[in-house]
Amino acid sequence: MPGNVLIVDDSATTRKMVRRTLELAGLDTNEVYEASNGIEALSILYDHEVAVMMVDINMPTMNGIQLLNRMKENDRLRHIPFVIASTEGSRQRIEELKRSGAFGYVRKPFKPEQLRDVLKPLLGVKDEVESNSVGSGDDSF
Amino acid sequence: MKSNQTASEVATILSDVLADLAFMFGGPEEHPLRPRPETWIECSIGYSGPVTGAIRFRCTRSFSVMLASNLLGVDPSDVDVKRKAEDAVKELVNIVCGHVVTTLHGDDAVFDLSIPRVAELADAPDWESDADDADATLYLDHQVVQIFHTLGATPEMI
Repeated sequence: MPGNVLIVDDSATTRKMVRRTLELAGLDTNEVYEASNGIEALSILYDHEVAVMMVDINMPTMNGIQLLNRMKENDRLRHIPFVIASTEGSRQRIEELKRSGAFGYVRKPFKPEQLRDVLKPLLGVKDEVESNSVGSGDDSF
Repeated sequence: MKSNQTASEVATILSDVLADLAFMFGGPEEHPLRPRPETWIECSIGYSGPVTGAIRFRCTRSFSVMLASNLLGVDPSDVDVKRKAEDAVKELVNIVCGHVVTTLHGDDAVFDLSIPRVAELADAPDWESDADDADATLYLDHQVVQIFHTLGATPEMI
């Protein structure tokens, strides 16, 4: 069954790009929700079932790390898989995010196939045969 | 362009990110057609960690629309593109800054980036005179963009 996706990024342009990339990547999504910061993301998570989240780190109001820490405090939210989509390149911080339970990491700018590879285990793809032809390595941890 | 290794790396990062993110390809060679006079905007971002630094990126309003159009994959005349033009520049600068930090300072240390800010410049900059101080001046499709990296600065200082 297709899953709902939540994109958390303060850039409206990036949210649109990720939404478009999800379509191009052929991932089997249902609803795609958008939040511009951690507070908005929590509000959506309280009201809707979400199968996977794409989370940016550098955001105003409540950044990605603060959001993930808040989710850990909630029994219903702590198990939602999340993928970090960020400009972050620090190995130390990526390791920290991995320890926090991040399912994967894609560094901006990313290509549709990179996103597909990391989200495929969580969402599946609509057309397995077609999308198998554009692999680019696995960015999941 | 500043003649040092850092400037060269910043220039390469800007070119690569523009190509990978927005399929925009530019170079340091001046285009024979001069850009038309118009409003310019400047986006600034800072980083802090073991060292601090700041980046300023200048472009015209029409470049920002072109960038948003490429990022979103829709026509430049689309209303949504005009609304997201500044946001697109902020995202470009955010990504460039993330890559500048790891390229110049390595990926061992942890850096925090500030939230990018955009301001309209009161007067069009004299980009030809400023080119010597810029880390890169790129020419793309009748447009000029410039980037300045200042080590030890914060966005408030520049």
